[in-house]
Amino acid sequence: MTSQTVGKPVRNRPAGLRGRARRLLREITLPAVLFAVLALLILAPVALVVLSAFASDTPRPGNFDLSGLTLDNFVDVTSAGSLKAALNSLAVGIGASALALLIGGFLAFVTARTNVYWRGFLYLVGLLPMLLPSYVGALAWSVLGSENAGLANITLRDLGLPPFVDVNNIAGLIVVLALYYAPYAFLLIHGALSLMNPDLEEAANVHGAPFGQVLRRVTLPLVTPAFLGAAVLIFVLTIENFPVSQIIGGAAGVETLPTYIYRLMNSTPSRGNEAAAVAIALVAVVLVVTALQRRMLARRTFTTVSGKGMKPRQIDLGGWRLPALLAGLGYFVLSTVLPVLALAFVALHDSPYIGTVLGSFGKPDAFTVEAFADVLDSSIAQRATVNSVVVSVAAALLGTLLAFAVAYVVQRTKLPGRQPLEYVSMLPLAIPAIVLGLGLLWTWLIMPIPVYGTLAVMVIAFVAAQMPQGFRGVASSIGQVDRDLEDSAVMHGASRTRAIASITAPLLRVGLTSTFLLLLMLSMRELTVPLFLFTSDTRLLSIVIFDDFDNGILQRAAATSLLYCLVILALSILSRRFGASEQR
Amino acid sequence: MKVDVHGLTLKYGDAVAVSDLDLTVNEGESLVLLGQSGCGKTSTMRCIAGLETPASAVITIGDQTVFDSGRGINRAPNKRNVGMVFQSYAIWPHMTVFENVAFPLKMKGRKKAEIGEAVHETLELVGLDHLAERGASLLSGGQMQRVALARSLAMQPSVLLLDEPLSNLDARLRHRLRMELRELQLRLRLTSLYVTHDQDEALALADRIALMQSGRIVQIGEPHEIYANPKSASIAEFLGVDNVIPVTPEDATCVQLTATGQKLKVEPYEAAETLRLCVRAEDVLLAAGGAGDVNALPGTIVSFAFQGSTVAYRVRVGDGLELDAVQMKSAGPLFGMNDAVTVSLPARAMRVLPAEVAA
Repeated sequence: MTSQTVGKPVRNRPAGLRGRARRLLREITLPAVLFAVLALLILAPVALVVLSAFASDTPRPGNFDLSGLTLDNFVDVTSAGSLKAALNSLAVGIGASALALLIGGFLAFVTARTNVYWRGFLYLVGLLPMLLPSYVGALAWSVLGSENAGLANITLRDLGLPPFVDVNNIAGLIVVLALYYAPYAFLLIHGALSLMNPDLEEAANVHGAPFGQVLRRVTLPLVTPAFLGAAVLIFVLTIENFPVSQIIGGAAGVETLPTYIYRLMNSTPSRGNEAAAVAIALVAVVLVVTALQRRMLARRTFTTVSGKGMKPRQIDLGGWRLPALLAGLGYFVLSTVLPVLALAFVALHDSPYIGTVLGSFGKPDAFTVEAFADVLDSSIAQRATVNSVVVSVAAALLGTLLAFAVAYVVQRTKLPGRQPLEYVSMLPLAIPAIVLGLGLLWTWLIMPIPVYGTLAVMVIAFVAAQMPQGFRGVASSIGQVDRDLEDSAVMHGASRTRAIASITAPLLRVGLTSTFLLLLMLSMRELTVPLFLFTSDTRLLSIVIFDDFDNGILQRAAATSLLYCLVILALSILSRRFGASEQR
Repeated sequence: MKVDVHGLTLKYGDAVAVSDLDLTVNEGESLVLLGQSGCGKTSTMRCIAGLETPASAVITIGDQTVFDSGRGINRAPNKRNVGMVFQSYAIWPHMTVFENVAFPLKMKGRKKAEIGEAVHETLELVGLDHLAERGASLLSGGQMQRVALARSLAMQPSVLLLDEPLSNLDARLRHRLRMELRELQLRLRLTSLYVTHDQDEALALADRIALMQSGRIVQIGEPHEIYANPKSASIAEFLGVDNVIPVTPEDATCVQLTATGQKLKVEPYEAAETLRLCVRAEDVLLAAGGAGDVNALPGTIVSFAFQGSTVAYRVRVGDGLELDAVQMKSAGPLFGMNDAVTVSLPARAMRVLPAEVAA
């Protein structure tokens, strides 16, 4: 081609180089700023935990001594106590995930694919326990199921039956965890079963497989990824769960790695370096399990979702319709009905000492709303409520904004450093909450900015801990908006910023709102992350409940828990409504 | 306005999508970039739009340099005044038809009354004025396509880019819109660059066609020129030549079929390392019986298909060599399976070409 119009006079400075350098500088600014923010939020805490595990002193304000690096802390990891805790953790993780998968998988199958009685209701039964933070469930079960003073056994004695319920042991811990993590299995497996392209099953049918074979050779293998995903997720969540282990296992002296870390931190003098070493062992377990899952799934692809919204075939349960319903109801009673009744009973009972359950209903003044009045009146609870709301709203807002910025850069640009941004954003998934809490504590202790002991540090902690959920939420909704829509605005004269503001953001409104509500909900429920960070002025509702229980103020703990559940219920109805409008 | 692309190289990581490409679209010309998917045609277009950043290039639109890697010039896409119709149409679902078309004018800071007038004028041009207030998510595919076109026309672009704009429509609608597009384009004489993998679309819409293969332009010229004289066998095949057969040279006007050893008289050809004989199915003549003179091969009917005005045959002429032939229904007796036929290949209809255009 001729270059008559091209041959502009070339100026005599090496502008090419300078131009390129300027371009690079411009391109790198945004990712660099985001990376710095994420590094401070997530990498610094993780790094401090790792360093502390090798140091002889924990980080303190203005001082973090790295001179005495040592492996001594790991001696404790191999001590009898910590090995016992590790074994307990493994048993609890494996047992609870197996049981949760069984419950969740069963409910998912009958509600997605069969004509079980009350199908719609059983679907709700599968989801409902999500509204109960696991430590509220644990609290209720410790009220219900302790060997001597448990309401279940008192009722049995009232009826003249031998008491046999005891949750304060490792089996009880497994059952309680499974009850409250089964909904995760339910959701994932139900999704896979109901979104599966029915053509796949019909094709097997047409090609000669009888019904049972279709199920075994096509349907079940296709839900394997969902099943495995749920298994790993629940294993990780239960093995790192602190409050349930503390509440249920604490009374029986069943120690798991998270409670062991907590005890090391709370002993006098605090043994933070050893806690850090144990934390690393816990992280290692989590990483190995997630890596295994990736390897198992990497070998095949499982594209089953057709997006056509066809209705999968329904299986006729025949004589099993009723037994299946009863099994589902059994789970409903254990996970939701009994715990809520127990909390209500304790909160409303006139005295913390309960001699008889059935007998109380005969006495005229056995019930009083005093405990509720107490809670509503108490300055601690009021303060905690305000704190919880302020922290959660701020964390959800900032978290959504940060997630949007990061997800936009990762998904929509070709800027350098996109991959690391994504990795760091997802990192907290592999860090147990108690470990992240530990790291956040040390990070903001040594930071020259005075945020430690304020609500701001809580907000920072929540933004860091919930970055993966926020990133995933925003990234998936950005993925649903065709990038051409924004590019076309730019082609038609809008600047990139203007195009984001007038096209992309409005189209993402629903996705951003539901991410915000999800983060709000997670922040409201979180107990473990702020556990090392609160002071008497910055207690959150979750912490107040945990404290009250720890100090034996059961009635108030139960009353606060119930009110707390109501708040969470309201929030989730709100987010469901926004989530539903996404379908339009 | 005239568009000039010089030395365009685009890389995705280590993969080279476009390599050292030169291209000029003259003022008022409709140039079609034709090629298979992955040949770099859309990438080339996106570089002109400014949506991709080339590793090196000088791109000018009119007398304005919009990209120059040497001098560090990279004008933002919104400052290039380039209209673009996306393959997905990219109609904003949260706006009405009117708002979609008004958008570029609003960005230019036009007055409200002026915008209203211009939008209605443009919508009339594409026959959608009655749908102005309809929500854009309620449109059919064909309507969206017209809105996308109207939106780009409304901004009075220096050059209009169209990225496979008809590929998401069904065949009949595609055909009609193709005619409308050509009509509009002949009337407005807008400089435009059109990307497609459909040769019929390219032949119908182009003033000139630039054929792309693996990141470079291998042939450029007017549609009838390219249709009649493809530069290589792979271009010929892409343009719908049904029979592309490996041959070895004998002398200046004779080649040997590599598969069967039969010799054929051909027009003079240029020597190249690998040669292919290219002949369209409609130029392959079939006759009953076994005898024949020059360029006649004995064959057997392997399969046939009735196609309305024509009948397509597949004929085996030797070990591993089958030819496609198309005959008008009225041209002779219809053959059946396994009938012995004589295949005649007129020298005038055949072309001996290099397999690929030399790099």
